[in-house]
Amino acid sequence: MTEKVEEWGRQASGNVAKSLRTQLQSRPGVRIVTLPSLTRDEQQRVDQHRALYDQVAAAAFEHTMGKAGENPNVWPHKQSHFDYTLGNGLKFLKAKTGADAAIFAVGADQVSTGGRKAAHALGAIVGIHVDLGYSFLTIGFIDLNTGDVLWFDYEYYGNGDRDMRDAGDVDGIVQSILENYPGVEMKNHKVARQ
Amino acid sequence: MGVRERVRESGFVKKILSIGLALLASAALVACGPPPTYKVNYALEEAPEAHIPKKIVVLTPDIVLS
Repeated sequence: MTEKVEEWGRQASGNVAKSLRTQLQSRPGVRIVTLPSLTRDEQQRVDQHRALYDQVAAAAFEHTMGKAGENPNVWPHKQSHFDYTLGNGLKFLKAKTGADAAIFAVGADQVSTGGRKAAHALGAIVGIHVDLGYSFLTIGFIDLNTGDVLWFDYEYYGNGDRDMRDAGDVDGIVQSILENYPGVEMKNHKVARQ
Repeated sequence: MGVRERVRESGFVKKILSIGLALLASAALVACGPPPTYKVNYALEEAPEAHIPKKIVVLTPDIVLS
């Protein structure tokens, strides 16, 4: 049985935001802009676009990750011409902050109780698999002018050994996701070799 | 269905690899170069200098813990 814990979620969200800011700020030429206070209407629009990002990220995950042999739902034309977009409804943030892009981060973490961990250990002895939970995070860079998803990646750990309440664990997950960012040269190099 | 549910139900995840598969993947990585796990918008690919963002705002993440 799983139970959603709001306080843990807030803690994990704070860790992710801080880690993203710190890691991107340390890159040459990148400036992180502070999100100003938003009106109720503006906040609603951001929330709606976060929900939209969740859906778009789900579609991008399903149709662009892996090869046709590994993922039966892959659409090769979307892989070669990645053109997912949220529309230009966040343009007001560009005017308000001067930022070129916004980052959406959506994720989940299932933390195992002591009892579940014990059941996992016992299950391993008798040959029964007990799921230890998972950690998952997706990051999308959104062009504030057009709403285009400029860059997208995710990280998934299925062995329950990460805890997103822990700032160090979150730093590792975010670092792993961002290590390919922006990755354009690497990708073009790979295409050129094919 | 959001991305969290999609990932859980897909059975297709890039980081669940047994040790044997991880070794195979490492060998393939050396031979073929890194797999394009991340996705880059074609606009960024065609004209990165115009599209790689310099100023970025981090919106409040949505992480669900259970």
